[in-house]
Amino acid sequence: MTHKVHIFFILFLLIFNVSLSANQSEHKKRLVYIVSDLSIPFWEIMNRGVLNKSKELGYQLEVFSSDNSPKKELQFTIKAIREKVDGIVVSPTGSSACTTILKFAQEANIPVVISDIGTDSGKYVSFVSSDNFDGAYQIGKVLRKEMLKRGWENKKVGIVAIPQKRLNGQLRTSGFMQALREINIQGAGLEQQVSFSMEETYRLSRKLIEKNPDLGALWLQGSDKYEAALQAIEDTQKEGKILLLTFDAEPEFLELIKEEKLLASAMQQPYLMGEEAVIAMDKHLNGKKVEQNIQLNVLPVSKENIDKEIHTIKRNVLGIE
Amino acid sequence: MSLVLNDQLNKNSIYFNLIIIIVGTVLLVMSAHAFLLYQEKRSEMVSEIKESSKSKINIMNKNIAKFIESYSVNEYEKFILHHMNDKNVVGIVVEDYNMGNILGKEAYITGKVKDKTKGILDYKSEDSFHRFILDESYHVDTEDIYSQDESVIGKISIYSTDYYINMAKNEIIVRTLSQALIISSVLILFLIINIRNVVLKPISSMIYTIQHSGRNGIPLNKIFIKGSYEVSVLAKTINAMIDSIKSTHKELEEQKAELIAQKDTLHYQAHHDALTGLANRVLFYDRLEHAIEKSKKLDSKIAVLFIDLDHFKEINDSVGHDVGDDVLVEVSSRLQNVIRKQDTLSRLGGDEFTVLLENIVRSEDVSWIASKILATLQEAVKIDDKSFFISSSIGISIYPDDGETSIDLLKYADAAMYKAKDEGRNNFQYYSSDMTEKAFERIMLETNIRQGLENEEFVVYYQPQIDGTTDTMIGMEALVRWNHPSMGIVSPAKFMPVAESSGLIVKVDRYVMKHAMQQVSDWYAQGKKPGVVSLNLCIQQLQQKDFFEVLKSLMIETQCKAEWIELEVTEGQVMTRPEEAIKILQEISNLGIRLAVDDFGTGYSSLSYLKRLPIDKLKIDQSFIRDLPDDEEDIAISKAVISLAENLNLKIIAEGVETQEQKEFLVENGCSLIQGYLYSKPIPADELQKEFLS
Repeated sequence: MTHKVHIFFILFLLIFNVSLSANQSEHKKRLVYIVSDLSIPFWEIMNRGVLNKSKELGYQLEVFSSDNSPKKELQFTIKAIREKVDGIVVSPTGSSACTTILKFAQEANIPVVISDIGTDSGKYVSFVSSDNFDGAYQIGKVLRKEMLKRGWENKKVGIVAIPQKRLNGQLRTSGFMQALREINIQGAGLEQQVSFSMEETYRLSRKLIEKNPDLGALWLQGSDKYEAALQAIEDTQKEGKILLLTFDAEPEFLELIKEEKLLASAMQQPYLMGEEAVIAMDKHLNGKKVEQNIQLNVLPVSKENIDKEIHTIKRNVLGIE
Repeated sequence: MSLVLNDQLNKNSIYFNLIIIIVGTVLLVMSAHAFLLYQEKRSEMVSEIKESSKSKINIMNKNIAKFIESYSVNEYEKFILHHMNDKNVVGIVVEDYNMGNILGKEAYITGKVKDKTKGILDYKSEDSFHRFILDESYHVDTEDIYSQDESVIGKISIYSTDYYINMAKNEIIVRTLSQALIISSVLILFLIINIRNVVLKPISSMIYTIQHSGRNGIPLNKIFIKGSYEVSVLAKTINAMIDSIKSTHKELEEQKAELIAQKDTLHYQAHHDALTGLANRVLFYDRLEHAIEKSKKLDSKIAVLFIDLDHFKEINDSVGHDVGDDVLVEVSSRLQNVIRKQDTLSRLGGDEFTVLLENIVRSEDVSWIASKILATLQEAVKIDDKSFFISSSIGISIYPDDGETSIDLLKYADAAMYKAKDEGRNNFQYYSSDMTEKAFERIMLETNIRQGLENEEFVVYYQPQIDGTTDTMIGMEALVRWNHPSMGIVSPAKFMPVAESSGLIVKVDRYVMKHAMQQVSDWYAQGKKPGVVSLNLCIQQLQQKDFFEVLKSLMIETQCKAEWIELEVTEGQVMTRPEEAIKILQEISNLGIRLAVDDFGTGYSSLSYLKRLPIDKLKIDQSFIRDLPDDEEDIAISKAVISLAENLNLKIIAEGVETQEQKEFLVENGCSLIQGYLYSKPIPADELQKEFLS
């Protein structure tokens, strides 16, 4: 709760600051950041990266949260286009929706940098994303190492997955499974999230546990509903018998990993992604060559390396300067 | 014939016509089949397109509605793109009112169109080319898009093209036409080969067989019977016709041969004399005209000899036609021997012959041949042990001197012949122009005689017969005279030959008989004593079947008694056919009519016949009287005749007595009955009555 108040406070300051900056410098180039949903920490952290780097590079930035609504996202896009901004940074509600954004922006000749999620098609300046495959592969390696250590070679691993129609979901699954396959650890099945609710995550997790008595590990491809997964393990008396792994990060993870309630988590670096997105836009607007696909590392954080990577985690993952 | 043949050759053969009909029909049927197939396929395809479009729009409507509601523009654009893969879809346009609302417009219009290269383009409503593509589409389905709460949130239109219909159409046309062409070709080939083998070959064979004919146009061979029923029947029928034609032709040939033979016979008969086998008048004219043409070119001369036998009629009358015919045959033979081979001898009829002499160089040659003819015909003709002495009269005309036509030449030769007759017979005469006039005169005379009889221009003269010892009249001879209204008295010597030759002599004789008998009867009725009237009878009169009836009716009509009449017949008339003469004269005699033999001494009387004749009197011909009493021969003959009469107990009378010396000689030698100019020439009745009966 403390964290949420803190985040809203920071957000308020940022928006106020951006507005203020816009008024103060009319001659500054104007950027718009249309973000999927600022209520989600990942996007909020990324937004801070965008804000920070825009400010740093002297851009007037306006941030619109689509609240996970394609309608709003489009409204913001059209608004930005009508206002003839110099560039749009977008973290779309979906790769399909992003296509429409790119289409309108291209018609208005406004450059777009995509930060995460990606697009089905369309022209953009650069796409900044995490290396989901490698991140999942690395976290898989952490798991298999632990399973070998515990002599659980014959135990299975279940996955509560984000929708697999998403490219990032597919990459995460395939990277993770490759790491397990290399030592012949069997999968126990994959349950996809739809509503991303706590209840849903609990239900899917419990289903995998109960369905697979020899389940040795549960991998949650997201981060924010980790509590539901832990609750399912606890409710099925599988504590210490089933390892939990996640993807992305919550501030609590720093403690949970140390407490070994969470074996490891593959942590994207949203703050860094936001910064990289603005940097790419800046390069483009300044006529510099921009790499169209910028992939950032996903950090495999476990008890082993958490202390070593804590600074990077705080800044780039959690956005704590 | 050539034109007909050319006309036939210009016509198409059945084979050609059949090919045209078969090809035309098959192509027409196959084209119609292809057209109907195409229409059916096209209808199916159009229907398929419309149904597909309808189905598609329904599916899309529902899906796009969700996307519009969720503002998933890209999703429905992908959806549209997906459905653009349908080959018949040329465009899909969606009007998104929700998105339009965001854009501040009525609708966000998006969609896809296909360009000509089948490339799928993002539809832009302001692009005229895109509009053109849609406007040119074949079919459009449009539906409103409803949200879940039933409000209209957009519109979707699917544009379908008929490009593939047309492609398919072309493919169908090509395929169907190819199939039609192949099937047609096979069908045509099949039909042509079969029709050729089954129908045309046999017909061609028939035509060949029929055309392969002999000179008579009849096919030499029969048709080989094979093929279908109709063709076989036709072949059999033609064979039957050929047999029939051959049979008929054979019969016709035989009939033709018969007809030719008959024609030759008829032609021969038409051109030859049946009795003598000589050329007849027709052939003679033909040859004469031919000779005239020839002579015109060669500038040569022709002679036509017209030969008439003298007194031949008497032979016919006296000994019968059979003998007369034999005489004519003999005459023909003699004439044939006299003339040259190249000369034409013909018999015109009766006793008339003609000779055509060509290439005459000198007139002496003609005379020489005429003389030879006269000579050969003068020789006695022996038939059945009987000798006949005949002579001939010949008239000659010369081409081109006398005439230039066949008719003229014959007419002139005929006239010359009459001249020869007039000249005493047994001679020949060349034609001269005055002969034509005489011939004309003769015809005119014949006509006048007929008219004279009708008009009673003839009058009977009487020459008294006197008993020289007492100079008293014992009778008279009735002699005819012609008192023509313009010519006056015409001499019997002039008209009698014409009357004899024309047969009018019978009527003239009866005319004289009637008037003389009436006169004598009248005289007796008047109490006068004219004695016996002598009437001359020509042989033709005696041969008339009704003669006796006429004679008896005249006697009744005129009330003339038989004893008042004496009929005179000439010696020649009696002796030519004596048996018949005896029979006739006997019948006359039986009527009580006296008979006398006229011109006695001029003929060749047989005493045996003379003895048997029922005659009462002989009449010494005046030719024996003329030179009495000086000529020794006449004296001898006169005495012999008188003596003969006495011996046969016949009366005797001398005619033509003109002098007293003649009368005295005759009376002294036993012929007391005298007729002649010494006492009176022939005079009319009134004069006779005045001088001898008053």
